[in-house]
Amino acid sequence: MLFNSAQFLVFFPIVVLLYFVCPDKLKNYLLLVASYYFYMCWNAEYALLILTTTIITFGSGMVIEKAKEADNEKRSKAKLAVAVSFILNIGILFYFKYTNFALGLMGGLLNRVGVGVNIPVFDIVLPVGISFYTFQALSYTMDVYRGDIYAEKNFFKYALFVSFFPQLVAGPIERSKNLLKQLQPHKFNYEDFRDGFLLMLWGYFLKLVLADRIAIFVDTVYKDYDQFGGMYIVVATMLFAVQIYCDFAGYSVIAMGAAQILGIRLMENFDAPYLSTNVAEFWRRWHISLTSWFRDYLYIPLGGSRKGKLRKYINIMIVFLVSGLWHGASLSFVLWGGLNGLYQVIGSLLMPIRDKLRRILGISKDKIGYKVAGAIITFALVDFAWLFFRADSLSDAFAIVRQIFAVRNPWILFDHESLYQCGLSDVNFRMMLIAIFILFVADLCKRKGIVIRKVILEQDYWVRWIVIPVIICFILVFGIWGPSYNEANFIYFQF
Amino acid sequence: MKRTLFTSSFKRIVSVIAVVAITLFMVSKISFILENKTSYKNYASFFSKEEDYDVLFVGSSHVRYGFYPMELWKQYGITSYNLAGDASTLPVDYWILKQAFHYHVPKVIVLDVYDCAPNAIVYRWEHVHDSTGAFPISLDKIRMVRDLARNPEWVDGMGEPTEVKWDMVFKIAEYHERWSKLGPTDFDTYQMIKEQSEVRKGAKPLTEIAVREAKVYPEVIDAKYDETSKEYLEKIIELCSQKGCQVLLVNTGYDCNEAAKLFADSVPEIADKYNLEYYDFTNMDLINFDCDLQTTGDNTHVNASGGVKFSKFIGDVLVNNYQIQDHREDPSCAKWHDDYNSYVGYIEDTLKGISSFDEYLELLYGWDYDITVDIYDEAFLQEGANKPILENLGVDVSRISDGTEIVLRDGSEAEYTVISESSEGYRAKVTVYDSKNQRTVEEKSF
Repeated sequence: MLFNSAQFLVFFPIVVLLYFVCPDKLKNYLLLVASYYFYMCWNAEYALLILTTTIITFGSGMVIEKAKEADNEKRSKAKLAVAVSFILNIGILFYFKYTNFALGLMGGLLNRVGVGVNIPVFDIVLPVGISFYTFQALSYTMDVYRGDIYAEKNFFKYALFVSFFPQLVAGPIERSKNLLKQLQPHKFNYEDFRDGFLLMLWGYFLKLVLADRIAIFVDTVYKDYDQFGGMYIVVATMLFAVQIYCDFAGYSVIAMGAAQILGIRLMENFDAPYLSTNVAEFWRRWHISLTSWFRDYLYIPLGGSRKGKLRKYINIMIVFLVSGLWHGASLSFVLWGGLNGLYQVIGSLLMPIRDKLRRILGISKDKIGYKVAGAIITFALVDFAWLFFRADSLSDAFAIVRQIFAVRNPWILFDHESLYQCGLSDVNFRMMLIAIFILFVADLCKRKGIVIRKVILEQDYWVRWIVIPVIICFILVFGIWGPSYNEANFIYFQF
Repeated sequence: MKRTLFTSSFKRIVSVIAVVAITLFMVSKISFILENKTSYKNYASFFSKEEDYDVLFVGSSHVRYGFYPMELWKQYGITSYNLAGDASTLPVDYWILKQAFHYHVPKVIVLDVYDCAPNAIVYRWEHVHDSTGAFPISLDKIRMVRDLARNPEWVDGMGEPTEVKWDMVFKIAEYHERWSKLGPTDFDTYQMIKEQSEVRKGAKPLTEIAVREAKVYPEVIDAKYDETSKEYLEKIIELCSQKGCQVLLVNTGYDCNEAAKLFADSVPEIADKYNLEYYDFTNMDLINFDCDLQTTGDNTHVNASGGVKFSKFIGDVLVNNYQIQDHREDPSCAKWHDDYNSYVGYIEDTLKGISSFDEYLELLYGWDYDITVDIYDEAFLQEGANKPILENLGVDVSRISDGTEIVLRDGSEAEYTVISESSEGYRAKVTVYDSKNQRTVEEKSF
């Protein structure tokens, strides 16, 4: 079930209504049933995978909890439980997501050394959101092991933590510290309802008005990249950066809003990332729940920055290569991750030179010019990496890069015609630019600490009564949806 | 304290209700602006309770283009409405009738049995939108969506794989993308559109002419019989029976395929079973194949002259066999005279937009204007359907030579004289005169 489907628009109000009218002791059970139903609408059998992950991590938590209180010998049992939980869960993830990729790599290598092997391709359907709920469940195992939380004793409550439907298939990847304790019965709260509803509207704006409109342009160009060279690809790649942001942030915001209506606060997943002035900052503001997961459960255990600069750089590269792999079983994702890691390593290495140059040239870090230049350079770097993310394969990605330089056509930016041949009519293209401007202003406000929702809600009642219907109508009219349009999956579902 | 809590809760409830109400209001208004108005332009006036109808026409485009309520009014004083729609299948017809009966229960239903999409429930959803879009939301409309959206079998690429088509009810889902294509008429109010629909009452005379030989119908060799259409035909008959309406079956589909022919051949048996009259127009020598048909793609419908012939035929049947009364002197039907005048205006406006000689005369068929046709160049008769269209109007073309003037008066023989004026470069000229109101409708040269 997709957030942008009619099914969800019926499902969610029913769940909300039932949640607030049912007795407190049944509330979590209701959400658990709703969450499994939500997932089973996509594939009923694969709900067993979530259940398996739930049982493994719940069991490991219990074992760890008991072992922690015992003697040293039994403490090793805790380590064993962590290892078993990780091996089993990563094993399941590997089987469903990476089997064909690993076999393909192996076949390629064997062929290179002259061993001709016919590697079979298995027909494995990737379970939606498997990377998200697996990571969320694993974080629980680690948090219990580290003593950050006590093991949850109530299996059903824990099962709800793993499967909570608003963030089940595309995050944010919640931490047990934040989410588990919130899985208590909630009373209806008008402020939460209002705020959550506005958040959902913003999410739908990002997804339907922006992401899915931009997708039409980007898909047209990337599908026939050999027909579209030069500036077409540059524009499409720039737009893809906005598309993936709106697509993923849209999902996260709808998830946050839906959870908030139910009285549960999920963590922020995006914080105006394209206003970042360097790549490291970008990654602190992009997909925050995943980045912080890697920081807490991979980067820091690897030694972080505590073991010298070289180890720090190696650790950064490991984290980003794994992050690339997490996003998809393809070398283009690995290269995308590697590029982002490399940007940060190089950025760190060049930091003294940059600082010196800045002092010599008398450029202040606090001035707007520096920030704008930093944001533009950061966007350009990140966007170049997105090209590898968007391309269907590594070979396609390199071919697309070559196409950028093979065709010289800067005039298409100014002839008021060429860009309208890529799936979006002139009025639709202009609508897209208006929507991007709205997004830009919203992100600027966010940076300045202005919460637009609050500004709306602080207005007189009659303004609120008009603004909310206007937003709804805007999304209904200018969103890309309806029967002539196939409900587009959120890009991050595939991860 | 309790009082404050109550006031605060009350305010919130009012707020939520206000936001929901304003949202619904805005969405419904915007939805109407964005909607394709085809259905409203055809059927909006049908939902007015002020009028009553003797006859409803239901069926495919062949009926929509073939039976003119205003012609029936003019000739017989029959009040009727044409609810037929393009590619409307019998399942769609059933649901149209089911909803129509909420507004009017006529004496007779003239039902088209032409099987335009054999073995499919729906031919194309856009046609269902056009046929039923104007019908207000009701339980029957929701039932229709659920029923029609069953997966139909695919035959010859007809029909569409379907899912729940909620856009039939929540129409902004289908039409919101029209925001970038809106034109001035999209901002017409419902009342304005309703008034437009009163003129034609669902029917639409076509002006184009197809010059073609009489249709040779396919031999049925390997077609699958359409059980779905049979099922719905019987459901319609039973529904009408429950409502106390008589059913008159017609087949006017001149572009019959093998499966449609197989179905049409089975209709007499069904008609006998229910003791109904059935007229297969495709087997009758009623129209002139040289000038009474129109062709759009592979579809063949009667044009305006063919439609007048159809309407006259069915009018005779309705008066003679179904005892439909003449309402022309009925004070409660006074508005029909105004509507007829509007219809005359519509036809005259259409005439003014036609630049082709044969189409011009084709649209004039059956009207009681005095028509003067000046032919300056005899060879002109050999072009298009010029010759058959003149014959259709009762002209003896053998009497035409360069410089012949023909005067056609309603109910009189054509008069032929020699033209003394010069042609001024034209090959033909037509003057349309309304003798009743003593005004020249138009003078046009070709």
